[in-house]
Amino acid sequence: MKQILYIVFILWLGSVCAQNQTEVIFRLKTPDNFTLETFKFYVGVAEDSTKVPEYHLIDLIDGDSSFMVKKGRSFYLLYGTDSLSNVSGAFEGALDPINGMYWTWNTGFINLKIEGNSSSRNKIEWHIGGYRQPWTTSKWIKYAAEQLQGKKLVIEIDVNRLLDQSEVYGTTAMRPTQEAHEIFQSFIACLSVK
Amino acid sequence: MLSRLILIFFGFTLCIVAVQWDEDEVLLASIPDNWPDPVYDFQSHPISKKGFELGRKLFHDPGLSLDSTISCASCHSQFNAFTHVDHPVSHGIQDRIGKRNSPVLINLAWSRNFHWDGGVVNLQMQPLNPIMNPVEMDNTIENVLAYLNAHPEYPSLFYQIYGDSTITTKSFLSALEQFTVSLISSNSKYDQFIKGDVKFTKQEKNGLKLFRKHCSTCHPEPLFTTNSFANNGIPKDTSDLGRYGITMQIEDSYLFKIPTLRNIAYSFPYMHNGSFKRLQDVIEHYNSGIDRGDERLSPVLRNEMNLSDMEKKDLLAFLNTLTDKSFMFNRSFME
Repeated sequence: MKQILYIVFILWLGSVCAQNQTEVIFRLKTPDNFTLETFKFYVGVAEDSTKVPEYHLIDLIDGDSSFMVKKGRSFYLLYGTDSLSNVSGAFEGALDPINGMYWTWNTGFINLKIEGNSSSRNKIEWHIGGYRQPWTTSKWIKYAAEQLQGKKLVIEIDVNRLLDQSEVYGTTAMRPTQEAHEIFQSFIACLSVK
Repeated sequence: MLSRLILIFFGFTLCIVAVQWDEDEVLLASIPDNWPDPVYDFQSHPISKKGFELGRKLFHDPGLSLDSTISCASCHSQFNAFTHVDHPVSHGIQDRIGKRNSPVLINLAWSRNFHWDGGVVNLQMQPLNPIMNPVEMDNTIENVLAYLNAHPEYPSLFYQIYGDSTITTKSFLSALEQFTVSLISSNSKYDQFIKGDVKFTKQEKNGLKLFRKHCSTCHPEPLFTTNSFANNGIPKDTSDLGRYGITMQIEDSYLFKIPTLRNIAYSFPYMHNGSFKRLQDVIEHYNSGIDRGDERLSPVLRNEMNLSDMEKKDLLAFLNTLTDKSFMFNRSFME
């Protein structure tokens, strides 16, 4: 009997906690003729943009595309990684280099990795990173409390718009350069709350 | 009689404790007072004896390479100041040839960047580069961790230090760093001369004078490097743009890291591409082998050195005083 009570209590506690949280979900808007093989990026969550955020590796093809935040409270997302984390020693969790989002030849995280194919476009291979000024590849965005009243906050990424950039920047980007910085800015511009 | 025996026993025990204590302290005790502060923070990340020994075991373990044939020590041999001699550029697994000469591993705690192009800026993360480079160890982090976690000894060794027998990227790299950061060379004849413990010969003294006049801008005492990048007049090879590959700044093309000159007599061949076999050749290069009109040439090399044959020998004699045999043959670094 006691055990059943415990289970009921834990379930109740779980549901109360869930009610106090909002799930931030990333979703891709992909063109029909394009097959994405990889779409990964780092996103850090913090109460304000001066703090070191808690990182998530969003993997929209094979992994996690969401995480929980406190309901009804504003928060900041850092798309990419902070510069200090780029030059520090090894981390566990999302920033573990085992996740394949780290450059060993030129210290730093790959903040955004997009790989894919289509019949009309060439193969795209964008490994976007860089923490050195001026070609940084990270951006803080504030999400207001009003956006976090419901159970979900869906952030859509308009891949079609992003892929149009390949005509400007080419289909391969593998270094922390001005092009990488600009592709990352386009990625930020393609995010919208639904 | 019994009390005397007890006294001897306690005295003996104390001696053992003292020796062990000394071993623990030896790493930090070897940093001279007049050296600059290291980049590595020894206070917040102290080196433990067990951590150092585990790092040493990893450093000598060929199991880190894809086909278990080469270890870190293969290209960074202690008896050659932790570099690979006789090869202009280093060999990886299956004799695959790299594009650069393996650098010495000396006083890394004072270095802000690593590799000839300075691409790596954190010592702890550095080993990922050779481990994953296809022409070096050609391995993956997954493979390395699988190897270590399945090993009969490593999980318990990691447990003793990190309190967790599951080896992660972080604990693996931390352990390796405990060893590499401890490769401190500070007891050469030069160091003993600076402390006033030994005298230089007339030739060595004159060599030091010439060194300070012609070489010390890029190789300042006591570390004998500025840790920055320069073009030292090696003929241009368009297949390796050096620092440019990292910064993508045109002014950084054909610049390479200025290496330390400590133990230089043992770390042949010389330069990023290993193009000089003998130290005499290096001196000759700086004296008369440079195209002084090359626009990328370091400004401090614009003027001729005009050394006489005697002066070249003096300079060489001084460079030989940078050999630290207590470092090169330090048994605690050995497998």
